[in-house]
Amino acid sequence: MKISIFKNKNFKEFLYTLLSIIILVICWKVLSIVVDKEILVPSPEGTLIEIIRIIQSPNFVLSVTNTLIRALSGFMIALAAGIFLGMLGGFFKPMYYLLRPLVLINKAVPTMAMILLALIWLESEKAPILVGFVVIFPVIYENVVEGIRNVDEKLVEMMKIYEIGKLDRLKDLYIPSIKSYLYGGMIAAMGLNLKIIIAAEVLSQPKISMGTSFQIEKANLNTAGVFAWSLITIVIAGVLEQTLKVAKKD
Amino acid sequence: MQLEAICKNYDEIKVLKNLNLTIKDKEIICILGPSGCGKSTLLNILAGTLKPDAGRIEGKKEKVGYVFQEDRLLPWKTVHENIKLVNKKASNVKIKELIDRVGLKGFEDKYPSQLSGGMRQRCSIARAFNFQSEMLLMDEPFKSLDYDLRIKMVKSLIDIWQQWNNSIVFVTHEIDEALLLGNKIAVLSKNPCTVETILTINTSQNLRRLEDRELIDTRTKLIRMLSKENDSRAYKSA
Repeated sequence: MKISIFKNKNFKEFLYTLLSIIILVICWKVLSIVVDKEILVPSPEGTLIEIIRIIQSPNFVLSVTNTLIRALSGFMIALAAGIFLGMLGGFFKPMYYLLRPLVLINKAVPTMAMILLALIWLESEKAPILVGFVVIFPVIYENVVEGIRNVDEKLVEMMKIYEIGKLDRLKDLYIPSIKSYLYGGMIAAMGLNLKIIIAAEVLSQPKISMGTSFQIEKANLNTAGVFAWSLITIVIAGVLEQTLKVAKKD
Repeated sequence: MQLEAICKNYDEIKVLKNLNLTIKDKEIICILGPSGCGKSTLLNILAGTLKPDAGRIEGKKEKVGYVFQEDRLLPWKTVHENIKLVNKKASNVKIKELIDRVGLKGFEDKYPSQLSGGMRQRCSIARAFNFQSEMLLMDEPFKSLDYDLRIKMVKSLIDIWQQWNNSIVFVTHEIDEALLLGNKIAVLSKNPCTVETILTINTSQNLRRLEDRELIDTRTKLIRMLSKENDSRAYKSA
């Protein structure tokens, strides 16, 4: 008799993911043995010890909290601006063309250039928020515009014939359509956001943050510490992404 | 409502030319005609979404409902919510009654993706009736359904219409649908579109059977007329 749990799709997905992680760790271990220099490629067990040390350090929670506050601040500002301007751009063609250069600049400007400019303009605590905003805003904006543009014209025609007011059209037709696009954009943007914020923190060096911690480990030539912080970042990004996915399902 | 000498051109193409049609209150008028003859253009003019290039419309209806070829339901709303959408003042009791009448009892909380094509179209008919329009336009609403289901849908449409009792303009390709539904059947010609003939059926819709002499004779006339206009193979008869 087959065990019912093996029929569960989620469980199968989990098994494949676990298998992939095990293979990656084995490859990592083999590479560290071949290279045989902790400063170049630290071993998985050395990195694990570093993770435990970092988690137990007194500033760990504060570092993560500070970085998350910056990431979420940039994200929320980009979300609000992206939704507002995206709706203007989606509904009104002239607004779309007026906003196009701004969005293109945001998309095309090199992240490093933006970090340097943010450092010149703002204090080190706030610079990463601006960088996060600049990177996230075009993703959210374009998803909102797409959501509006891809509304089924036949449904719009139906609503006009049935004399459904503009406000109800927005509530019953456009917002549900935007939502499906927006969640996709938000999930993609959230992972990107954390990476960008940490990169900005590495350069701006705010007092206690994940980016600053990366820089300290690098200055101490503690490659295992850099690996450990990278793994912590991956876990946090994964948790944020999953939270958004659960919110989407609800 | 009266259409007098209605003309509509798209660029150089004359779609409607001197089209005359009278739609009386409380009657169903079925429109039969070859594909691409301008039936949808006529419906859009009746709905007020398209303006004719020439001609007069008298007694224009302010509130016009429309049942499209596709169901056009909002996928994120349930059957109940989709019906309520067009008339938010309608009581839940009234919506429940409409749902019962179109045979969707027990499916109130289902989403369109959980329903069959026929059920979705029944939901869109209930939505149109909830709009409480003075006139209802139906553009081949049962096109995607098989013959038996189509006849069932026609019967349930008659049932709801008898409660509601306002005018319906019903565009179809199916002679049997027109025979069972129409107080009048208007046959359109093609290139350009005008009203070729209007046939009247006097028997009440409730008492009609496709085997009745009157319907058999009317069907024969319709087939003859339509054969002149188009390849008769395009028209199915029982």
